[in-house]
Amino acid sequence: MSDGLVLGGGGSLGAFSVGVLRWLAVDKGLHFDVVTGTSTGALSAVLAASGEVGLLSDLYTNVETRDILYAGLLGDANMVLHGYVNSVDPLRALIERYLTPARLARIVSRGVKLRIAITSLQRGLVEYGTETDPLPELREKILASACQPVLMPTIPIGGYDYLDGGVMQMLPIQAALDAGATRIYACATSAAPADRAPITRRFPNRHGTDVLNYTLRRAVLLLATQQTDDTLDLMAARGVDMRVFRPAGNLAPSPLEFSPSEMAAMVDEGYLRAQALLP
Amino acid sequence: MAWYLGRVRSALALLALLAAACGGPSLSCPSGPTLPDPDPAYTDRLASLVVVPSRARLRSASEAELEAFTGLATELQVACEASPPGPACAMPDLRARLTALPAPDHPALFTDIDGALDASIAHAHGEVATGDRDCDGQTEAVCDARAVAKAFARAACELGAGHG
Repeated sequence: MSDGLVLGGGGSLGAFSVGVLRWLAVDKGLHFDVVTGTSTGALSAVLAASGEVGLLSDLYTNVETRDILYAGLLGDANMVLHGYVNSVDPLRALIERYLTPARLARIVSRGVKLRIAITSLQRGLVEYGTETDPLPELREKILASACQPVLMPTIPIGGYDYLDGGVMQMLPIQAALDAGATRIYACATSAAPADRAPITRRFPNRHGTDVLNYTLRRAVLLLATQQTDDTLDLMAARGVDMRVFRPAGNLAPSPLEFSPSEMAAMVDEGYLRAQALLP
Repeated sequence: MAWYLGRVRSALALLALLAAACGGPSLSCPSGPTLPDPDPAYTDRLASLVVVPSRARLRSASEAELEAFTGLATELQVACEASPPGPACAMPDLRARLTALPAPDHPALFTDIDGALDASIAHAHGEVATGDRDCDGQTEAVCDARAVAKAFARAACELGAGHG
């Protein structure tokens, strides 16, 4: 039996998956032979693969929006000037700080297969960063995996442009199976359809800023959620040996707002949810 | 006369208790979120593992239960930050005091927090070899207690107790 951990995307909501992992890796003592991740799950996958769950939860309960994104004074007007809203320079620095040569060596020495999902704009398919990539390239792939279209830039790697793996593969279960996993532990940041209550707030459709702040962000979230549902349905229909961890209800309102107190609450929710689902 | 002196002694004892309560130590909390060291020391690694189950379970605690926990966290913080660490800063004593805390509304609250300690400690011991731990020459029981004391203080602080 080879266990695979699959960490889905969802920005700050990834804190939920960190709590799930805390329960699985520490209290249940599970060792994962394969770790796959998309977007925020790609960032978590590194420390999950190196077995440093405590450091990961510390990171997710202390990181703030300014450590990830920088919109500057222009805010959403950046889209007109640059083609995207937020600079990801802070996120790039964060990845460089935590994905060190020693940490990558630790992942390799533990024998963990790492798969980071990224979407190739030109090829129109999902590719993967792996533990065998040169460190600078793997860092860029992890960054690309987290770059939501329009809200963040595309990342050039090897002559192509890449962005969020979640555009095509929100929950990279197939990648874990392809890497040899026979039992899947999948963490998604959206609730199951039956557990999703409609949100009550209206979405104004007036100025450009409103469209970006409400309509686009909400639309991306809905697409990602639907893609997660479809993937899980497909894998279940194929009879994949799978344990799925999803929140019991809607998490924080905006995946692109990183508030330490809200993220700590999500880590705790993930921990207790995993304990309830897999005591 | 004896009755009178007894009442005076009781009143003085009560006053002393109140004075101690008013002027006693309070929990010291960090001023704000700080990104963790990319290569944390052993005690920080263990503290990070202990804080999640502690904080998660304390979210459902009543005000009185959280107050009792914060009191213990404060005492442990004082004992474990002293040099040399006070006698209260050792795992057997810490765990006995944790599980003895009153939990009228959630009887399993503190035993559940205690129950998560073994897995956290085992995991942290697996991460960092004995010789590489920042134990400053202290025994394992004291070294681990220092980390757990940090975690308990963080859990209480992050749930709104203590002072920044």
